[in-house]
Amino acid sequence: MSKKTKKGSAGEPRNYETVFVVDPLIGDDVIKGIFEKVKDVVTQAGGKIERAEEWGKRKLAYPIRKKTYGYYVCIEFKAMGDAIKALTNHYHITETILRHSTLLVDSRLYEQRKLEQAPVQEKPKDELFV
Amino acid sequence: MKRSTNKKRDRKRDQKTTMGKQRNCPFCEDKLAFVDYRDTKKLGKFVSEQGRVLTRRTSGVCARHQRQLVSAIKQARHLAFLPFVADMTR
Repeated sequence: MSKKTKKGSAGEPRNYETVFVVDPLIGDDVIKGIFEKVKDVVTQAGGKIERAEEWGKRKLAYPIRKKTYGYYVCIEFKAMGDAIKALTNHYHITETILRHSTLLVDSRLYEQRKLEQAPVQEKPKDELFV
Repeated sequence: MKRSTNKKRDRKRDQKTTMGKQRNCPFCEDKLAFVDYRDTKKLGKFVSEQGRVLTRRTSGVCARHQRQLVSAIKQARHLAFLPFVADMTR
């Protein structure tokens, strides 16, 4: 994996994506607030957001903190490694976030998604995540 | 006696040849370069009833894609797309 992902030699941002799960019971307004805040953290740390989408409420495969449903949010962005530290820090501080993961997107996967995105937009959203 | 042994051998040979043909990786068929952990629908096909990862022998996935698949399933488990252990309530 590491062979194909471009290593950011000084000043070269890399492709990341972050997914986090929020407790849906806290209300839509609060969730939106969290969403905007995470975006702010990324941009303030010098990241550039490419795509931000809410996957919405989904049933969890197993209960997390006694919750059976989760609200999923995904953000794809370009940034340097320092931004990731700031992001994870923010995740740890925020209590309503049940789960989070930030990954380097493999270059092969990145290109594959680019190809997929064009036709996917015509299809209904439900087909992507069931 | 001679006849029957020959038949057995022939049957075995036939089995071997057909088994070799049946194997084709579902990811290679779709021409996917990389297994995506978000594609829960697809990942679910490579997980047993209990939630364990299927072997290559049973699923027919090629070595490269199996390596990607395993890490994809693990990532999906972390985000609660897939269970670590399916509850066996009966």
